[in-house]
Amino acid sequence: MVNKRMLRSVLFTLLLCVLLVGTGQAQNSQQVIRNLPPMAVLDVQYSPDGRYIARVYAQGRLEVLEAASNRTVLEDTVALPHPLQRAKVDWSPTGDQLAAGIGAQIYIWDVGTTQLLETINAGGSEPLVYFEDGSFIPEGFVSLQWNSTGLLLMAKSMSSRFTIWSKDQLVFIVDQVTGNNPVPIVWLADDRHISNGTSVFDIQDPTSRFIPRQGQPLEGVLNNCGPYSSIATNANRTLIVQATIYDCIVITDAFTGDEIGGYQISEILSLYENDLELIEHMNPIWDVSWSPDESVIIAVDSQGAVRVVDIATGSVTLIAQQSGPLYAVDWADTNTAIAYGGSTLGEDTVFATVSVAEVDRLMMSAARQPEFAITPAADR
Amino acid sequence: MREREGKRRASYVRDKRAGLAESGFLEVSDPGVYPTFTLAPRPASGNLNYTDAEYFIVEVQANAYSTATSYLDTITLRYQGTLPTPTPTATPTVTPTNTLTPTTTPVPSYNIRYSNELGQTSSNWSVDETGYIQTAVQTVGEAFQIQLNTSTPQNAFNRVLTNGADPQYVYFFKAEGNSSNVTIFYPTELSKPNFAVTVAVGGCLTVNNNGLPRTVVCNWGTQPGQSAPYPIHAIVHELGHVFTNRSIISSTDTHESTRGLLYAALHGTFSGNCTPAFAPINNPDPFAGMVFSESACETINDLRNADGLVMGIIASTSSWVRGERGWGSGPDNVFTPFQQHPLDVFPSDPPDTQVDETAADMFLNWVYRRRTNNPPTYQTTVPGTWEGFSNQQWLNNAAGGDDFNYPGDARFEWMNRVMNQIYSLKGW
Repeated sequence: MVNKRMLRSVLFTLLLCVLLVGTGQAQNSQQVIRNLPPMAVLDVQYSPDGRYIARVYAQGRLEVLEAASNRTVLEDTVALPHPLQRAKVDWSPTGDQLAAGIGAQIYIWDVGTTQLLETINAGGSEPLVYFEDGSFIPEGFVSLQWNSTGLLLMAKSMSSRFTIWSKDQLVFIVDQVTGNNPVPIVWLADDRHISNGTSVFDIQDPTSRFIPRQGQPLEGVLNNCGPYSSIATNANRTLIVQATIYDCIVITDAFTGDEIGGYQISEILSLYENDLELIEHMNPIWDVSWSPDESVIIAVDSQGAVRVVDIATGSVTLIAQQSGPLYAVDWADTNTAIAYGGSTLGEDTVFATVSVAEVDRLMMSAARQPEFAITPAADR
Repeated sequence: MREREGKRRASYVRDKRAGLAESGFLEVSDPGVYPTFTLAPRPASGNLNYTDAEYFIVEVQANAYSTATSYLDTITLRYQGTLPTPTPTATPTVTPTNTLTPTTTPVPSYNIRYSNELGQTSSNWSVDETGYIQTAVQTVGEAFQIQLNTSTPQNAFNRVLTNGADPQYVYFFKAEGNSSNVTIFYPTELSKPNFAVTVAVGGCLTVNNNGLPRTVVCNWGTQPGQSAPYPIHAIVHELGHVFTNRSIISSTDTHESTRGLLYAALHGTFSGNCTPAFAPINNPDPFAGMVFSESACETINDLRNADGLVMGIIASTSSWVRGERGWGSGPDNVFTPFQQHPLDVFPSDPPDTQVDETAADMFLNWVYRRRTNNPPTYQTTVPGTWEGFSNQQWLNNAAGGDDFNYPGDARFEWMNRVMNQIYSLKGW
């Protein structure tokens, strides 16, 4: 126990160095920039047919690999003044186009011809975004997602610029700054609503506001889980999964806002003695992804763990443990493999794929119970 | 002749003959600068200008009397003629007395003591300084009076901050401002040990040490830079620390049981993890039905809901934001009246200090706005006509600007909910 605590303490200290200071450079005594190591993988996604993997690095580099051979079929590097903290990629539903949000721009590629089709300015005008904790974060994207038809591309930048770009009209049909807190968002099933989990935006509502929903919370989630750090939807976008800074995964009905499942997948917080010890427990889950059959959710966190949660039982399985923080994970729509990425403590790239067969084997042999689990009702 | 405008202390002295507050007399004072004088009967309602005052033209906008609000008239003073020479108010003597401003009224006194009372003659508050303390205590008492609907601010102050304590008063200890090493001496009758603390020259500190009187120490010297630039606000901030300590309850949560409910509430925003007293599941949700509907025990959001963070954790970085919007004054790289512990002035504060000091500054802003925006209004005025939480922003230490996302209202509503919960749980 002591060794585990010491290890956690060391890991957390190092994590803080990465997250709070990291490679951050003080431009002057008044300006602290929060960013990530240039070689950190910030997002990863399989193409719908599972043939390709797209990944984007903090340094602004985009790569598309052939999944079977790891051969690079597309690469491009955007010159940036600072390494990024957030960047996103998203394949169109047909898989022929790839959107990559890097810096203040969204780049749309035709992967078959490796042609850059569009460059869309969907970020802020400044390369650095100021936050009220006194830090600056390089402009980037916290959300980037096509709607189900591939005709509308939604994006949200670190500067909280929220846009929806029409592929047909080549214009923004929504373009506004939503606030100062870039909460990640997702499309819902009807291609009309967009949600951050607690509020919903209707693209046909002239008020152009995210309207809060009064969904039913789950006992235990609020007292233990903390704010949300990442979001994803299931395949048909009727369920939202959000992960939190204290290692929780929460499933929400996308339209009612009711929390229907909640899991805390590591130590609970109730025994902390002081503020520092509480903060030690902070372990943001930076990305989550559903399995195509919606039975399992996979998560990666700031302490380098790759874990899957069985939704029905709440059991948790550690798939991999890396030394540095992980920022991206994706479960292939073809249900053949998962891919994840991040960085080592030495600031090198972490990127790996694991077959679903191996994930299943580990789940059979090494699953354990979570700290708490509230599973969705079977008769839903 | 020169003329200036300013708001100064004005209060009503109960008319003994009538026995009703409504027929009291208006008393105007500017502690330590101008003499206190009783001006005239309070008008029943409406506006009234007094032009026969010796030093002032007094414009009174009398608000209707309410048992819930007492009086919160708008008083504007225009100085006329040559500014007068300050007339010292009575210096507190060594005679043990609860009365700070002797009056002929039966109003109870504030349960406070100065270090130059009770035999501590080596530690003398100046006349000006006692005026600052008196005003601060009165201000806090008035806010509590509104909150608790008590007959007097003294009753409210004593009920919240001193009743049941041992000893039953807040002790104000004056250090001489020549060293940061301060030893607090307690009156011999208390049989309390001396207590050594470190207080920056020019600064104040509150001792909430079990077994000792709750003590506000100010280490103020006579040279420039050796005293607080906003001494009244500094004292109210320190009384916020006293309040935080007084809000300790018996609880399984260590913050609630060792630091106090106000600390626990602020810590909810700091960690994103709510304590039992403020968590909606285990208790009636104190944040239910708010105007700022996505504010809760873990975050204060503005008009933009989850996208508009006033105080709490940034979603994309998991870092806490005390915030540069919604305070009564700013920016936070200098001392201003309503940020007595500004973040950029103390960048190396450990986490618990950040939480504790933010709690005291939130208390300070709440006290002033509670007095001057009663009943509370939200999303009506930018930046606002009250004191305390203001709908302004000072981003990145820039000059202040109007903020139409109402961050001051969001902070105020959040604090009202927190304070209601604290008073309820404490039974005040």
